[in-house]
Amino acid sequence: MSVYRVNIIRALLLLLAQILIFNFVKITWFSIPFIEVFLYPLIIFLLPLRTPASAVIILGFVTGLIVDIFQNTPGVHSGAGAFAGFVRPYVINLMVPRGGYKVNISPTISAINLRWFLLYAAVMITLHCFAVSLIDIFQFKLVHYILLRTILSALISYVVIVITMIVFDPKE
Amino acid sequence: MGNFIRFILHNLHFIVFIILEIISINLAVNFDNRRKSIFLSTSNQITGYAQSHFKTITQYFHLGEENESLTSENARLRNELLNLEQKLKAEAAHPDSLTVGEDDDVYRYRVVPAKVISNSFSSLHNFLTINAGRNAGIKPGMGVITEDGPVGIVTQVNQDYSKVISLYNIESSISAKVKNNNALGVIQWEPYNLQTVVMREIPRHVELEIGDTIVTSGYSFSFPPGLPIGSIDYFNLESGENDYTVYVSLFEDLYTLNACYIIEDTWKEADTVSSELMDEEEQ
Repeated sequence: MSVYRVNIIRALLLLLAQILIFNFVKITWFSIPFIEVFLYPLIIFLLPLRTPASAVIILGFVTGLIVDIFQNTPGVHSGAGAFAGFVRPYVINLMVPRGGYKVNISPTISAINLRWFLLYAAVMITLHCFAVSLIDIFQFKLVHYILLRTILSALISYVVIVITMIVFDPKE
Repeated sequence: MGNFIRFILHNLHFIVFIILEIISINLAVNFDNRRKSIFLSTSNQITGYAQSHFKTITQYFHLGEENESLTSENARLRNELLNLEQKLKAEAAHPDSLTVGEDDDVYRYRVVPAKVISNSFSSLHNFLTINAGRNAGIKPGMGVITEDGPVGIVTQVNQDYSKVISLYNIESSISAKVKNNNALGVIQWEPYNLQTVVMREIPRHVELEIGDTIVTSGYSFSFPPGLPIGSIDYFNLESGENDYTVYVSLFEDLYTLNACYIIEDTWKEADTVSSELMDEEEQ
């Protein structure tokens, strides 16, 4: 299958899972969500390594916007998605594995290795959750709340993402 | 131009990121009332802070106008104050009289604001120059005061400027009295003794106390009665003398003089006319 088709199908499936299942997993505190599960960032994480930087950002934005439309939180996930797309190249460049990356792969477990992916997913999901919390709460006065929500959401989302990756174990 | 395009292309992902973030935050703010109110209150705080600081800078540029309007306002209030004081005193003196205060004696004093242009302290004959002259209705003999007391008396009048004989001039003398017991005296200056003046001609039987307030007597047409001048610093009674020598420390600081008020006594003309008439009668 071509790279495009794989990524489009993966994006659709992950978005469906996010919209139909994980959007309803939500613990709120004073009407502000406290713990949320995000699976859709995996779409951004698993884009091929050679995808142009601008394209990753735009795709992150569009993915987030779709989640926003179904969750009625315009701007929150689209901003976080664009942010995740923006930081992805820097994260990937910071953690080059021994021997470097292969030419044009998606950074999956089987394509690189489990340890690399665990670290990569942890960093990326933390940054993504931080962006979501920051845009959602929108008040620097509540910085402790932003950080707590980042950590809790990132932990649960991380567990879900890693389980998904191990269970389905996509090759590309 | 080529460099600019190269710069844009090189940082394209960053520009895309910024644009998309702006769109996202715009959406996030506009579609959520809580975020909207936070955004508005925060931006209001920031702009309010900036504006208040900007205001503290810009208001210095308007200090001149501000001062001018305040001085004229002060003059108007002083005018009213002096005249109302006179009226009150007149009514207190004649509690039964219904007519007192109804005629034009309410408007006995007229106050003109002015600025001190030059001021000297170094010679025996110190003068001030103020920026109000014949055009402002100033005439020789009018008193010049500040909020803290008398400054001097107008001696020469020009079209737009006046020369004022300062308190610190050996030729100036102002009729004054002790506020407590109405003991009359004359205030004069001893050369080079700034911030204090000497009050003479108070007879020895009068009891004085250090700290008593000295006010203008009102027995001249230069100053209204009861204007505070200073307080008694110390006094002595030299042997063989009949009068006290009282040293009075002034309330006002002539060094830092800037704005002043000229007092016109509208009774003066009438009174000079009547005294001339009396002189003629005596002859």
